[in-house]
Amino acid sequence: MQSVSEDVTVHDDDVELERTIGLVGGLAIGIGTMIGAGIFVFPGLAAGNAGPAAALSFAIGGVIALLVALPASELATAMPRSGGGYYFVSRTMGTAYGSIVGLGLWLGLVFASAFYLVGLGHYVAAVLAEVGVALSVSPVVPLGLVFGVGLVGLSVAGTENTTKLQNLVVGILLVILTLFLSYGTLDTVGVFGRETTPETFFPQGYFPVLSTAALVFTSYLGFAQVATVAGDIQRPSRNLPLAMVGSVVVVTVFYVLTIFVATSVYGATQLEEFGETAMVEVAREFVGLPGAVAILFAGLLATFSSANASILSASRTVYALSRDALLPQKASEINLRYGTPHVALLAAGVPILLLVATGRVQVLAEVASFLHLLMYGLICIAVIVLRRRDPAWYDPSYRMPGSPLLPAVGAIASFGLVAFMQPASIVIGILVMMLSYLWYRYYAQAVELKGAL
Amino acid sequence: MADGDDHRILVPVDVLGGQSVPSTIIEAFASVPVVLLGYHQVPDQTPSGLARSKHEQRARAELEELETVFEAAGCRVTTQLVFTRDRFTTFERVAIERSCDAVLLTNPAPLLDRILVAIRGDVAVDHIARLVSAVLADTTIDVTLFHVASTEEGRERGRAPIEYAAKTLEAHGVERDRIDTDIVVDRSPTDAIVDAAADHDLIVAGESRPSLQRYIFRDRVERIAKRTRDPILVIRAEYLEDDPFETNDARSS
Repeated sequence: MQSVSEDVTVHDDDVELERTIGLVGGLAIGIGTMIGAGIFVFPGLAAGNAGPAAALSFAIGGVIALLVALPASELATAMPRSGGGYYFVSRTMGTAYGSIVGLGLWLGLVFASAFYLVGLGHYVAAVLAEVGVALSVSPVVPLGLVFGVGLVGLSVAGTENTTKLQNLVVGILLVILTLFLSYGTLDTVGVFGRETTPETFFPQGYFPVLSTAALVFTSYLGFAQVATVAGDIQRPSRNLPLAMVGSVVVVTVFYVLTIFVATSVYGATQLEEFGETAMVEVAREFVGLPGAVAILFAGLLATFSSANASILSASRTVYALSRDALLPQKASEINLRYGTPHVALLAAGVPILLLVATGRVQVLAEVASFLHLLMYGLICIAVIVLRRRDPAWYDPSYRMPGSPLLPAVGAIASFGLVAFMQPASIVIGILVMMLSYLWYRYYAQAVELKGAL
Repeated sequence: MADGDDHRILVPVDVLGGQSVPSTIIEAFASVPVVLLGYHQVPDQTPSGLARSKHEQRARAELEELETVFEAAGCRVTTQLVFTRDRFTTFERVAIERSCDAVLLTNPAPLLDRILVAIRGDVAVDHIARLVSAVLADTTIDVTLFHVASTEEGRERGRAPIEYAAKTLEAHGVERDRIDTDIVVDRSPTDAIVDAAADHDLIVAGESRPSLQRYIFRDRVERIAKRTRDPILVIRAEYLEDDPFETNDARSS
């Protein structure tokens, strides 16, 4: 048993676990995890698929994320425990669902981390190209691997007080992007006398808007990461909902503006050719080399912090599963020298490196989204279930509005978005789900979860 | 005589880091109630619940052993065990919760013969002097009252608070021949304090006012701590705020 207060979790035996992350820190985790993908990797790909209507795709993704952030906030204030979405679903809906969501979340974060590392590889490659280093083969995948190994190594060695650093990084990113997008928006509406590229809003029709929304949804996976560190957040009843909802709103605005600005400077086909680092070219078009350098720098920071955050979240999920005996106990071992859960970190790091080696940005992103959307849909359902059964322990300090209608819409939207993905991603996603279920049948069927409904 | 009951000192100890509290320190601080804060700094990568389940037993045993040492010296001591990611946040929270007016950052200190008390001109020295005299009660430890002026003109202005502190110490039972005073001119107070610390065994310094300055000062305390082998007693700002030196001076005259 334990009691949760504003600043600290006090256990029965008087041991205290300090809560060290405030509202700014919570927002920084959410925004820092998300912004790497939506602005610095996807614009080129998204515009290529849907044209200027890609802005609408990002808006759709933002609405779905918001529909999930509300129930996730309610659950997080009722269960401010590390483990996040996996914890909510497993405690509400039982071991079988818990296994599928938990293992799915672990692998979903593995796919997401690999996606961010490939994105980081693109940015480092772009920096090399900018300074004139010519290479005969594409350095993207090797660079992604090098950074992957580096980040996992750094994590195993352990870092302290990186919260301040994370706040600083997100602050710098927001300043650069605000300047860039303000200038871009003013320029686009003609303040500086620019002729914008005339283009139809739906050059490819309506379907690509939804398939692009499915692709770019990876840009919204970060808000739930705030819940995975719920145990470290100060004043969780206030800060958890604000951090989750706030970070979704902030990044949605930035994403939509980014696409708006990018597609009015260059045509969709041109952006698609620029690929993952399209925003660098957009910035170059506005303010020349300094703009390109600023966006390159921001892109490096953003993809790096997204990758780092996802690796940590993946390892925390592994630990949460191991604590519940859904994975071997070995995974919650602590390294004697560094005090870090090295087995859990490697359980995240090794598969990430394998996936980075494939270099397939779109598939990695979609499978990550698939596995998260599965959990998001179940989070929405969990709120409906808990509201109906109303167990004694369920006492959230934040209650989302519009239940059961809004969470039902959230669940349908989450599951529905999956249908618009590429067949390959859907097949891999279903495969992971089936393997998770088999693992449950073979390994964890007898497990009874502590604190389950 | 100074009354130790007016004060309470927080003594944070990194219980699993092999940090011990020197017996000289325990003897000196036995006259003042102490809150012994056993903490373990958890790396960002480690869920704090996991760190707790792996380390709690050993941490608790270490803390209890230390508690008995304090008790044996005649100190009224209470304990608290915390797992944290940011020790300074923890120090501050526990200090406020337990109404501690000072925090002792321990360092290995084989001897404790002479302490350095940094006196700033802009804050009340009254509380500092009373706390120091409470600590010095029943010991033979000598004290240097130390002021860093930024300019030669500031040297004169530093004399008044130093004199006032000396009088307060004397009034609370510290003999005059144990009190030394020193005013130096230096652009960097940190450098001056670290230099002067070389022939002292403990540093007493007041925290800055709660402001942006304080945010930096936290690091400054840490910087001083890294550059000296002396323990540092940091007197918390809220105990220095409401009685600036001038009013005290007026009150005493």
